[in-house]
Amino acid sequence: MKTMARILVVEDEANIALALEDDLKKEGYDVEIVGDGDRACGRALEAAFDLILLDVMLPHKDGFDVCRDLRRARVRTPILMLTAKTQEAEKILGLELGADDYVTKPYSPRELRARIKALLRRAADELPEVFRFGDVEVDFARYEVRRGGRLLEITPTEFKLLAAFIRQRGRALTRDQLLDLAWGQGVFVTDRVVDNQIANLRKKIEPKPSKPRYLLNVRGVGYRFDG
Amino acid sequence: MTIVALAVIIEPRKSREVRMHHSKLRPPRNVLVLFMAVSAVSVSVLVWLSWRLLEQDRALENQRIQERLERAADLIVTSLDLGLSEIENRLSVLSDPGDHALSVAFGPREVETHPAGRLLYYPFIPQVRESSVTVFEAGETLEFRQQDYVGAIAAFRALALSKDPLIRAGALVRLGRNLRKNNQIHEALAVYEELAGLGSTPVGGDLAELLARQARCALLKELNQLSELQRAAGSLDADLQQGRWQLDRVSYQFHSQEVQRWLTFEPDTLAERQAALALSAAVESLWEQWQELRRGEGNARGRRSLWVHGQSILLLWDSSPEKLVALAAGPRYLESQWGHTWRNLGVTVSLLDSDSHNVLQPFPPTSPQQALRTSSDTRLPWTLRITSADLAADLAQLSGHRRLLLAGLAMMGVMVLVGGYFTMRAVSRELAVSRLQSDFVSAVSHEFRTPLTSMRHLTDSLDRGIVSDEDRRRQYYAALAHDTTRLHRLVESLLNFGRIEAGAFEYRFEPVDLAVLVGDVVAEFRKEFASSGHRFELRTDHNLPPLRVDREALSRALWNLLDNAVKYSPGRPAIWVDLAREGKRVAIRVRDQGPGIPVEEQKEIFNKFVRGSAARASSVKGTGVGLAMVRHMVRAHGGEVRVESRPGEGSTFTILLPGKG
Repeated sequence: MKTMARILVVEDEANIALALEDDLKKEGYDVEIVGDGDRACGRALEAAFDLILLDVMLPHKDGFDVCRDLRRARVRTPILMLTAKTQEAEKILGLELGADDYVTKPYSPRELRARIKALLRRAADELPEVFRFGDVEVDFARYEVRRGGRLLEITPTEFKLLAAFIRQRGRALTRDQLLDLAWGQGVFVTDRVVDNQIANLRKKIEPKPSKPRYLLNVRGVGYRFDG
Repeated sequence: MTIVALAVIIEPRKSREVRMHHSKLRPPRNVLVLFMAVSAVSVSVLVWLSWRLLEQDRALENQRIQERLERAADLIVTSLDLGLSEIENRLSVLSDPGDHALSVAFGPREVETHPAGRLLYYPFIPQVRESSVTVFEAGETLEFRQQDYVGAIAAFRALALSKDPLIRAGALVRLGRNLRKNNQIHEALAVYEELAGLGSTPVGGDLAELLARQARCALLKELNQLSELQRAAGSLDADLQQGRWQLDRVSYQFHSQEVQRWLTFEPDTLAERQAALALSAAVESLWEQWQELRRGEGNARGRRSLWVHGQSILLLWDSSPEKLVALAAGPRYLESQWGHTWRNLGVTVSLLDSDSHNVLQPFPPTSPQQALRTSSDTRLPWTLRITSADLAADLAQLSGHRRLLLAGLAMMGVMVLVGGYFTMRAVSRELAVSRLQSDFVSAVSHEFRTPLTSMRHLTDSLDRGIVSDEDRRRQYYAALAHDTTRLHRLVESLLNFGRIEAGAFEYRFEPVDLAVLVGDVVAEFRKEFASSGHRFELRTDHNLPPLRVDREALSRALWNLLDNAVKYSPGRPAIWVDLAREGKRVAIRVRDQGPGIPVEEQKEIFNKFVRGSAARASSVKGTGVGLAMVRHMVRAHGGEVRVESRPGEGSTFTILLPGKG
C-alpha cells in the first residue's frame, strides 16, 4: 500500500519555494512551504513529515539551529539541507547536526529530485520487514501482526497506527499527529476515535492492557511508544 | 567584469585600511597560544641571559675589587718594609722618632731614651750612694726604742741642717716621720716640702722629692684636706706619667698605685697610661732580650711585635754586646706613619701579630673580600689583612652596574613584549581581514547563487512543461524577471563599489530636484519589494535649497539604506523616509523598527565587509559593502552619513548634503 510522502520545504526565497512546490507536487509529494526557522520547527514538531527540505539562511533561526533542535526533540525525519553556502565546514556542520544530505545552490532540479527519492527510500528501508517488541511481531511486508506466534486480528487503521508509533518510537505524539499519520490529512475524526483505537490496540498487544507497557500515555500531550 | 570588481574590492593592500569589529580583532586561540609561547620563551631566555650576565658582572666586579685589594696589599707591604728598614738604618742616630714611639739606647750601665720622659720606668737604674745610716742611729734609738719622738725630732732637726744633701735628705725623712708620730702634722708637711726641694737626692732607696710628695699626700688625706690632696696627688701623678724621675718598675708601680688610691682617672687618660705602660714594658722586655743577647742567645738585629698591657708594641733593634739601639712604637705610631697611605688607597689594614692579636684598633668588619699577607711572606712582624675601606661604596658601584644592566634588560624585555604585541596585532588584523574577505566572498557567492537557483529551477520547470496553468506560467516569468533585476543590481553594485575602491568612479553632479529623486527611488523600491509586506511613509519638505548631486550615486545610496531597512525589520512593516531642510543642509532620513545597532558597532558598520551582529544573529543576507558605498557616495557630495540607533528601538540613517553655495 503506497502513501503520498509528505515533504516540508523550509525556504525564505519566494521564487525558489515556488519552483520547489510545483516541481515536488508534480512528483507526487504532499508539499508544505514555510519561510522561516521558527515556523519550520513548529510544523516539524506538530505534524509528521517524511522529509524536510531545509534552507540554511533563514530569518529568525537558521537552518543549522532548526536541524539541531529537531534532532534534540527526537524528530527522526530525514533532513536535506539546501543552501547557497558552499564551504566544506558548513556542509560538515550540517551533517554533524543531524542532516541526512546536503545540496548546494544552484542545484540541478533533477539531482535534487533524485536525492529526495533516495532519502525517502532509505528512510523506508530503515524499517525492517519484521519489527519485534516483547512477544509481538509486526510484519510490514505481509501487513500482519503476531503475538506469541499467533496471528492477531487487526484492522488497517490499527495497523497504520502501530506502524506510525514504531516509526516515531520514543517520541511523544499528539492525537492530531496520530490522526495525520494513521488516517491521513483531510479526514475528519474526533480525538476520541484515536483514544478508542489505542485502547483496542492495547488489548491486542499489551501483556496487561490496564497497565500498558508499550503504548504509554503522555500527560497533556498524547501517547508514546516504547518498544 | 564582476570578477575584476571583486578582485579590486578584496585587494589586500586596501583591505588593511579596514577597521574591524572588536570581536574580529581577537586573534584565533592557536595564534594567541603560539604568540604567548614565543613570548614566554623569548622572555625566559632573556631572563636567563640577564641572570647569567648579572652573575658574570658580579664575578667580574668581585675580581676587580680583589685585584685592587691585592695591589693595595703589595703597596702597603712594600711601604711598611721600606719604612721599617729606613728606621732600622737610622736607629743609632734616631733622636726624634715621632709621637707614640721611643728610641732607646742601652749601654752596659745605662739606658738612654728619646724623647726623654716617655718611659714610665726603666729596666735598669744605676746604683747611687746614699748617706750612711750611722749618723741617724742616735735619733732612731730615741724614736724606736724609747718612743721619744720629741727627742728624736730635735736630733733629726739638727741633722737636717747638714750641708750634705744626702744627710739632709735622710734627716728630713726621719724628722717628718717623727713629727707625724708626734701628731705635729702641719710641721711634718713643712718638712716634706723642704725634703721635696732636694729633688732626686736618693734617700731610703727612693728619691727625696718623690718620697716627700707622696708622704705629703698621705698627710693631706689624714687632714682630710681633699681638694689640696687632689691637687698634690694630681701633680705627683702627672710627674710620674711624664717620667720626671728615673724609676725602676717596682718603684714606679708602688708610687703609681699609691697615687691612684687618691685619684680617679678618666677613661682617655687611662688609655694614655696603658700606652705609656706598654712602651715601658716593651723596653723592659727589650732589655731582658739584650741581656740574653749578651749571653750569646737571640738575634742581634730584628723586628718584633710584642703584646703587653693589651697593646701591641713594635720593636726594632740593632745590638752588640756593648750597645743596643732600638725603636719601640705603639699602634698609633703605625697609624700616624702609614695610615694616610692606607686611606689614600681606600683600604682598611688590620695587622695581626704572631698570637693573632689585632695590632690596630678598631678591628675592621669581616669581609668576604680581603687580601692576606702573612709574616712568613713578608719581612714584617705581622700578618696583614687588607679589606676595602668602603665596601658599601664598592657594592653601590656594583649595584649601579646591576641597575643599569637590569634597566637595559627590562627595556629589551618590554621591547620584546611590545614588539610581540604589535606583531600579534598585525597578524590579528591580517587574519581578520582575511576572515572578512572570506565572509565577503561567501556572502557574494550566496547573493549570486540564490537568484541563479530560482532561475534554473523555474526555467527547468518551464522547460519540462510541468507548468500548464497560464497564470502560474505568468507568475514564473515575473519571478524570472525579478531575479534577473536582482542579479543585475548586484552586479552593478559590485562594479560600482569596485570602481569606488579603485578611485575610478566618476560622479556627474547636476542640479536635481531632490524631492522628485527621493520620491522616484521610494516608489521604485516600494514596487520592487511589494511582497515584503513593508509600508513606506514618505514625508517631503519642499522648501529645499538648490542642490547639485550625482543622480545615480544618490539613488544608489538611498536604495541601499531602504534595502537595509527592509532586510533588518522583518515583521515590522513601517519604514519612514523624511526629506527635510536643516539650515543650509538637506537631510534624507530612513527610519526602521528593526533590532537596532549596538553603539560599539555604529562606527564599524560603515567599513567595507563589516556586518553587524544583527546580520549574524538573524541570518540577514547581504555583502557588507552597502553602507561603505553610501558613506563614500555621500562624502563625494561633501556630505556625511549618520546613524542613530539603540538596540530594540530601530535605527535612523541620515544622509546630510550641503546646500549649493
